[in-house]
Amino acid sequence: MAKKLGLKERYALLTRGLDWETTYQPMDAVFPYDSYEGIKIKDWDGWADPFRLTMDAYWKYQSEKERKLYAILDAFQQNNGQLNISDARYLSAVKLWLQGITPLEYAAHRGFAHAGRAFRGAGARIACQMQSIDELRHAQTQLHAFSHYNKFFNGFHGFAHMRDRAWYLSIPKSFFEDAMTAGPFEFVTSISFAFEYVLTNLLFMPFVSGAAYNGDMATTTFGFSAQSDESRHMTLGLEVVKFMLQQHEDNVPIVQGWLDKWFWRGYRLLGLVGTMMDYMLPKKVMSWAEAWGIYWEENGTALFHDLGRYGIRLPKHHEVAAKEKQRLTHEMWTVLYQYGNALSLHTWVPDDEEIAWLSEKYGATFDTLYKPRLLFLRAAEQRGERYYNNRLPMVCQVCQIPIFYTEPDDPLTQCVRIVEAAATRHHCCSDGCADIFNHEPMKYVQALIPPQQIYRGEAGGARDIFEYAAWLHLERDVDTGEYRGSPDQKNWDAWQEAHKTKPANAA
Amino acid sequence: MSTRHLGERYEYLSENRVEQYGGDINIYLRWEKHLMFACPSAYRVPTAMRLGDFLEQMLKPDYAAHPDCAALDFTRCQWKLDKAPWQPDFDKSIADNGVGHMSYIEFHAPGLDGVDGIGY
Ligand SMILES: [Fe+2]
Ligand SMILES: [Fe+2]
Ligand SMILES: [Zn+2]
Repeated sequence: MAKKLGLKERYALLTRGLDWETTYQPMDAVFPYDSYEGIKIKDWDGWADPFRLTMDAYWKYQSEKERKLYAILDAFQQNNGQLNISDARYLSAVKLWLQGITPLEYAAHRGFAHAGRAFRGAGARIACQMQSIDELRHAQTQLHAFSHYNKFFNGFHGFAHMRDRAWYLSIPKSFFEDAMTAGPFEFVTSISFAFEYVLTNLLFMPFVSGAAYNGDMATTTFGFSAQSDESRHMTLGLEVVKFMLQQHEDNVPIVQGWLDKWFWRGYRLLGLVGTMMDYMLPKKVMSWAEAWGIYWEENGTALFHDLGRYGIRLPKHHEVAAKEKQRLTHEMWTVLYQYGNALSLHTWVPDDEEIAWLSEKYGATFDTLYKPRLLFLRAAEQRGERYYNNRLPMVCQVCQIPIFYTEPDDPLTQCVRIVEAAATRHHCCSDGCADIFNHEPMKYVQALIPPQQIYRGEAGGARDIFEYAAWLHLERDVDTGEYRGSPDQKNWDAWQEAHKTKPANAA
Repeated sequence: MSTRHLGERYEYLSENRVEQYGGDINIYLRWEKHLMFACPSAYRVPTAMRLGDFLEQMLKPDYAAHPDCAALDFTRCQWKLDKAPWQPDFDKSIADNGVGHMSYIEFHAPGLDGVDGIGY
């Protein structure tokens, strides 16, 4: 009998030997998707996967991680771990993750299954297949981890119902559906490279460290459990981009176009995460501006400089992101605050200590532009006139974010760009989104924009923001609106009180 | 520029085309230097409505929470329609003023620069 094969040899057989050229049908008919985007591949064997994971090794690693994760989740639940978080306001961040990001994990599962089927190279197929299964696991473990909070707090109940209906969830949803409806090379560039490789630290680092800082062991644990998968996904992202760039020089301008587009879309999406960092976490990790500085301006641009030898330059409009970094989260928080009647999470004006932290992190910009706004809102609330804006907003046709961003060089004027296609005007939030629209107008005229759907009568017949919230299955001032005075706050205060007064021997 | 695609053609109607509004149109407005209203506001309006009626009856109540609202006088404002300077006639209808589906109106009220003059 032959000696037992090593992992490397088994991987080589899996990705090079098990594959075959079809003869009943031409390869191009079997794999139509991997050529129509214009990407030219001379040699699929040029694909290198540094992880070289075989299926049996994959199952073994993953099942070990599952066992550890669920042991900790069980302990968290049995020990009433929800009482050890920093403050119930923290849960707005968890709700946003459950509603906005967990469905993206599931979408990634579907997207990678499709990309895996579409590539004719077996190495790429296997990597996509494993990632597809990883992403399904991420969706499941997140649902399991968060389900515990659903027993104690409001706003967790309708994530699946809301995914296809809620205005603020159309932001992440449209991001992923844009990627999934592109070809497989663009899909992997957008998700694995632009999002997971370049921008992932801006999603995972604040969220997982934020969870740890705020005593949320359930989230911290699934975060770590997903991290080793993420490093494999990031490698896939970098690998696919280098592979395309090395295979043919004609691929370079196509890849550059995708990097321009997906940098901008990813950056726009991350505004929600930045707002979570600066406003939703009762115990702060670092500011959005600091995180952007480290993870994009230092690490991200260094990576693009490395890709310079293939003819790749920095993504378009990165300088706009730099101009916006001092204001983005303050602007976005007041958007969430004022449209709070249609959010399945609570919003509030930061307390004095938090305002001092924002002053320290954002300096004069914050003190002159944004702090007075927060103090104005606080005074209104104290008069019993908590401010809500119940009029539907103008929304960007591409990123689907309500158009609140201000002009790159004028923080007092909203940035609106008018674009036209299919004999109809549309609006964009930025030159970045307008470029994306103008490049593929026939794709973006199809977008479902929530305020427009409401006015067209396509949101269950809702005529205003309250009927719309009811259609989302949201209970007013229970799931929605202000944190202060909410049932979440009242319960939290009562539980904290009971916890404190409980005799020591009863613990 | 166009989307690369498989199959013969890749052409669509706009999801938000005017035919979807049963004779009404979808328009957008922004009061400059009043960022308390973070985004331009969206309306569905009948084209035959008198512009002045729309402004007084539909638009103004939305701004009631703002301390500047009481002093807002539309006849003294400076106007832009789809980013070009514009002189509206409040007695005429929305359509007769040249406001169309997906139009974007901006107005500035001289002397009203937001809470404490900070554009909010
Ligand atoms: Fe994931
Ligand atoms: Fe991933
Ligand atoms: Zn946009």
